[in-house]
Amino acid sequence: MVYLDNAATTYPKPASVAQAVYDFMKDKGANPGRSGHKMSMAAAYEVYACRSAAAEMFNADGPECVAFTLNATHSINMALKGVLYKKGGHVITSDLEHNAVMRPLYKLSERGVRFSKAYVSLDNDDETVAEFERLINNDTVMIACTHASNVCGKILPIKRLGKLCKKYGLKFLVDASQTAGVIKIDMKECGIDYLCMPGHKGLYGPMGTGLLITSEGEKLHTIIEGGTGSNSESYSQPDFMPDRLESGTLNAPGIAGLRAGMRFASKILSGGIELSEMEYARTLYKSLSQIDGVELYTPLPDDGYVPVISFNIRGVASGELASALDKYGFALRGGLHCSPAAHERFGTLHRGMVRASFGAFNTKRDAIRLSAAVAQLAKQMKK
Amino acid sequence: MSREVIKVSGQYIIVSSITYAYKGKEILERKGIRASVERAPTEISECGCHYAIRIGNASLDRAIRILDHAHIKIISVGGGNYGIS
Repeated sequence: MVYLDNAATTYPKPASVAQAVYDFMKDKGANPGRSGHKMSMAAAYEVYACRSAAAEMFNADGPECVAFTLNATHSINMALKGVLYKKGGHVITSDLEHNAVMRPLYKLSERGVRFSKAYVSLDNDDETVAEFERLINNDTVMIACTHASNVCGKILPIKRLGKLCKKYGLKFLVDASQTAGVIKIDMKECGIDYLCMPGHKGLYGPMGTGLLITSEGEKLHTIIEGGTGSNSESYSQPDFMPDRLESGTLNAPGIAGLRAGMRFASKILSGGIELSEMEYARTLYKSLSQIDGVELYTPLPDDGYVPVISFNIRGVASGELASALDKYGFALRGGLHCSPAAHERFGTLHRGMVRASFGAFNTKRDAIRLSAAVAQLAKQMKK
Repeated sequence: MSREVIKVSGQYIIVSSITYAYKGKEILERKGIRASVERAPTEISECGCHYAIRIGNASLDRAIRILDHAHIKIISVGGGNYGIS
C-alpha cells in the first residue's frame, strides 16, 4: 500500500515513537503530576521534557506556555472560546478553513460573535494581507486562521498577518495542523498569541495528542475544569499555566511518543534528514496535469505550499475515485476533508476532491506510480 | 524579599505546580545548584498536594533569589538551619 494521506495523519510513524510509547507504558506508567512516588515523578518528568521541547521548537516563552490537548480541534476550541466568552466581538478567518475553526465560530455566532472570511489568493500574498486588513472593523478582536490549507496546501502569510494583528491590537490564533513540524514556526517572529496543533501529523506523534501554545493562557476563560494535581484545596480552576488548561489525566504515553516524534521532526527541520516531499508533490502535479480529464485546483505548488495535491477526474465523484485508487493500493482521501469552506471556494462542495498528501516516508516512486494509476483510471472512468 | 521559613529537615521551595518545579530545578542547576523535585514534606504542605524543589549545595536565600528573578512563583519555603534575610 502506498500511503498518501499524511494530511489526515502521518503514517508510518518513526520506530522511535512506538518505542517511546511502549517504554513509557512499561517503565513509567504512573499518573504524572498527581503523586510523589518515583514512577509518578518519572512520568511527570517525561511530560515536562516534552513541554520544554515544544517550547523550544516553536520559540514559546517557556515550558509552562505549552498545554497538552487531545488534538488541534481541542486546542482551537479552548483558545477561541477562551477569548470570546463575552457576548459579541468580530473574528476574521480565511476562506480555506477546516471545520476545526469554522464550527467553533458558528457555535460562537449563536451568542453574538460575528466573523468574516478573507479571500486567500493562491499566488499573491499582498492581496491576501490586504483582504484581511480590509475586513478589520472596530469590533474585531482576533484573526484566527489556518497556516496552510488541508485541501490545496496553500500557506498563508502568517508573519505578515501577525504584524497586522500587532498594528490593530488584535489577538492572533494560528491553526498549524498542516505545518507544525513541516515548516519552521517561530511564535515570536510571527506574533502568534495562540498556536494550535495536533501531535499526530507533522510532529509524528501518536493520535490523541495536541498542543495549545500560548503566553496568555492565564487570561483564557476555561471550557473544561477539573483536577490538575495543583491547588487541590480550592474549588476554583488554577490561574496559572499549564494547569489552567489541563484538567484530568494527561495522555502521558502519547506525550512520550510525541516527544520522540518531535525529535524526528526537529531533525528534518534542521536539515539533519534530507526530505523532498515538495519535489514529489510537484512531480505528481506535473504528471497529473498531462492526463486528459484530470482537474487540478492550484498553480504548480511552489515554496508557498505544503505537499498536498488535490484533484479530480472530470465527471467522477471524488469518493468513487478514491475507492478505485484504494483498489490499486493507494491510500488517499476523497470528499470534503472536513473543510466545506475551502470546497465552497473551489466550487467542489458537491463532489469534493481526491487529496494526495506526502510525508517523510514517501518517495518519488510513489508519486510516479500514483500518476500512472490515475492515468489508467481516467481512461476507464471518464464520463 | 522576606519569607517565613518553616523548620524542616532539608531545604525546600514549594512552587505552584510540578511544571514550575521542574523548570525551577533546571534553572537552579544551570546556576550550579544541586536540586531535585519531590513531593513537599508534610511539615510545609499539610494537604500533601504540593511539589517542592529540594535544594542541595546552596543557601535557600540564593535559590530564592534566582527563582524570583526567573518569575517562578514561590508558595512557601522550608529549611533547617537557613534563614531568609
